[in-house]
Amino acid sequence: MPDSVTQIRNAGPVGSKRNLAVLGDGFTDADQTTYNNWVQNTVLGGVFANDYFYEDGSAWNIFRVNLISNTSGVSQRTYNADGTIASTTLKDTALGMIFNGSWSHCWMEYGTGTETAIQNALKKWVPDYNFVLIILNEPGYGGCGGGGRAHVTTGDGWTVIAHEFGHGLGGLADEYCNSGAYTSGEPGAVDLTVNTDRSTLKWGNFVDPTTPIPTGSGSCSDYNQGTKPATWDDNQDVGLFEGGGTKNTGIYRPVINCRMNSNTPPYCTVCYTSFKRQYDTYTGHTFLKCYAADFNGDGRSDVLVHSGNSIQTFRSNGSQLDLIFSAVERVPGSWQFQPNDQFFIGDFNGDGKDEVAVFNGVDWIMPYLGLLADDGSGGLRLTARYDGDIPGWGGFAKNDLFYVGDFNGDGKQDLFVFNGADWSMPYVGMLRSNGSSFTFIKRFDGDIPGWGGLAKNDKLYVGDYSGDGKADLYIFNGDDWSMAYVGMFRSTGTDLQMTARYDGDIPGWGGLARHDKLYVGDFNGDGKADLYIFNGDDWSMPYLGMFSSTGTGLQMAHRYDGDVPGWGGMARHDQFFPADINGDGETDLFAWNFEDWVTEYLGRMISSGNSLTASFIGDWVGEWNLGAVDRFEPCNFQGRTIRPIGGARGKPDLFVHNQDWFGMIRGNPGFALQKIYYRWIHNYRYGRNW
Amino acid sequence: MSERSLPEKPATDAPVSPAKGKGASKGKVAPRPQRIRGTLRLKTKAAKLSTSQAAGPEHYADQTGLKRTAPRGEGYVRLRIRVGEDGGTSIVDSHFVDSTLVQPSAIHGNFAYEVTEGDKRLHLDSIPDLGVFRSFVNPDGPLEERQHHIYELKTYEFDVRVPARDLAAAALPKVVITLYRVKEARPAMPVGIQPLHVQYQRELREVARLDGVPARILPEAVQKLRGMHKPSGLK
Repeated sequence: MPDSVTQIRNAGPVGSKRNLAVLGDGFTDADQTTYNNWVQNTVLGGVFANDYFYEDGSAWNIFRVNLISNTSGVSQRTYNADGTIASTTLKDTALGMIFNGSWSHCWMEYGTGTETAIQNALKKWVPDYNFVLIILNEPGYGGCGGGGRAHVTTGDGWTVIAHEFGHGLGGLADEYCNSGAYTSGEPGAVDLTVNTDRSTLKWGNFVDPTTPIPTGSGSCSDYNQGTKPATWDDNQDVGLFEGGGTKNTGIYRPVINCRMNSNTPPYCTVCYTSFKRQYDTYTGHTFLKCYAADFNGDGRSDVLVHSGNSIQTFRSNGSQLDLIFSAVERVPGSWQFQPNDQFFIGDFNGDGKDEVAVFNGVDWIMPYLGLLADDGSGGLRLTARYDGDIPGWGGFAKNDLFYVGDFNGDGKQDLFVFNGADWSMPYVGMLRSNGSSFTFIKRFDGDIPGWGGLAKNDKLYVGDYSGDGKADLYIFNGDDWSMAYVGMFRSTGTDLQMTARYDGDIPGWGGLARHDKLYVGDFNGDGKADLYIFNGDDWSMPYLGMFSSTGTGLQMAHRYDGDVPGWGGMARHDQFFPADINGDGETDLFAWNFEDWVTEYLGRMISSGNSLTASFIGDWVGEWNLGAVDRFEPCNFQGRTIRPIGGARGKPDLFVHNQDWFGMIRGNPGFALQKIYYRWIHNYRYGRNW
Repeated sequence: MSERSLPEKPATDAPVSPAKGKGASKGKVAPRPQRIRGTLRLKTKAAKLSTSQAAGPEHYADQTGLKRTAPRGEGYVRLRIRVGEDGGTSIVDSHFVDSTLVQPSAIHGNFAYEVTEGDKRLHLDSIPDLGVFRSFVNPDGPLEERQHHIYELKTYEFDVRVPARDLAAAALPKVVITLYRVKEARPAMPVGIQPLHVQYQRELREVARLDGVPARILPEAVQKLRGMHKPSGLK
């Protein structure tokens, strides 16, 4: 077998990522499986499956260079006590490296042709590497790193390599103690200091004011300045501990025990943050695309963050979010993430936990639809995928629009799909979930009987307006006809039947108009999905209407002309997000306006069943600076017990997010910021990363 | 609020005659399909199906046919710089990389390089680890071996990246590559518009410098960009 390269992590273009080249020496053709497994288990399954490198895996391309050696194992050399060579046994290997097992000789050394062989291999297979990991087919322990390379043996564990990556990729110093006193000046590394002044300490922003400085004094100290708090975390709580950089005294480290101290613990707060800052540019992470979902069925909303070709999920414990899952390029099954993936959250298998339907009609030469479900360990894996079509639909297309709803009432969310752009007539489809895949049920070609013709700008809204446990459809069209229309289509489980069509008006509304915006929610708590309609464009003042579903039609409950009491005046660009904010089983509205006033306003409009009472907050929610770039996801991250509505819980909270910031806002009884994160979601024991 | 002259809605109990615009009103049945872009595109006839196409986990081959959605970058040049025993520098390799180069917004780690042409920065990047080799700790060894054994390298090499277009447009004799040691790291060292030695005069120390980039070492792609022909026999 000739030499080759396998890109085992494709995070993105080499110029926008950091590139790790893995080279093996002493692996024959027959050893390649051993080599592949070692790289898989130790690099991907070890270093890149834990703490920092797991979280920021999207910053790293990993290239496994498959070099074929003529003999198995590497050359061996032994040294006499005086440092002279005792013996050398050479083997014909790809790189010609020599293992000597001697600490004072860096455990291994280059043969005469090694440097050239490495350069040639890199130039051919990974021409723009940033870091090189060379693996010797040698079971003995040892390793030698520096200058952008780490040389290890198959006898080394991943934690040793992660420590070495701390030096080689993080520029971090050792935090362990060995002997002697440090007598030099301030070290350049971010994780060591000689400074004992709290006000100028370089990691001082992570030190709680109640923590004594120094925190540990004396030779390689633990916490010995006062009583160590019961909640103290030796790995994450930051103080100032004497001993580090291999010296026992005269120099200080930030935590008692970091990976840069004893390999096994995660990187400490200071080292983690240094890594994050160093490689954040290369991750491609933003908070622009976030989706609320309850992935573990604990009643609390978690969040899925999608950035380019990676996703991360963070689990709520009621007050904060913690990273649970990070996937780069793909999840097993497989689904390969792309920037234009669209995610649809729902409990598609009825297990009480949310799954993810994902559609991409843009990035590939054919559209794909996938279903991602729990992988059994908190992550996601593909359970079904449809390439280009699901039989019966007649072909997915770029502008297919998906809507989640349990249209057959079996407790599993299904999908409606609409396309009004790619074909000579519009289509509506019903795709039923059987828990692990979708089945095509029904397609409407150009019309749903009674609607008088599907049209390009039909807008679909899902809600069980009949109260029979099956998700029905409202359809609105304000663009394609001489007047605006609203239709109500009840699901029979396998079909849609029109129960009402409103031509130009719903009694009491005063005329449907082009820019009417519909919001579905059971605002009177009777188990039937009602309609809010807002129009800020077509009339001399904005209007908000409440139309309750009778099961077969709509009845106006209230119309607000120009204002909802407490909102201070509706305005043209008011936006609404239906959610049961106060947990009474009636769907309320979050209201948002960033365009029409001198500052931004976030409001709550609480339904009494047939009317609304509003309140609002302006400009800031705690530390969150409300802005035009903000996006909101109604959710329930606190997980408080709220009366279920049709199997779903209320959503009293909001995730708020933009390019760089992510916030958790409590919405009941008033707005309050629970948590704010910048660039990455991490819960510092004290302090923050900005 | 809007200054448009728009009507008020009728009262909620007033009879409404919907204002009609241009075009047709809906009938009871759908109108005939409209052609899209001159072609009649209809889905194939829907079939009644009882099974799905899904093959189950692990049965799917990779998705294929990824379109290139991002415009191709203009590429960059990767230069390998050797720092000799006397501190002198030389370019030992250069090649073109067909990818878009990201410029870091801050410097981190123990070293950083900057490529400049006069006061103009062409690129910079951090180098976490340079100039030393460390033997791994011997966990079962005597006390002295329970730490890294550090080997200072007499000569060492590092990689420099420069956007191809910038390098092609530069006056090559005026291009300077400077290697800095980060003497005093700060938690955040954002990069401003000033050269590094001005912005971080206190924190950085110059350890090596290369004045001028010979045109002959530039990759062919950059030579073309410069409108030059690579002289034969020179490498």
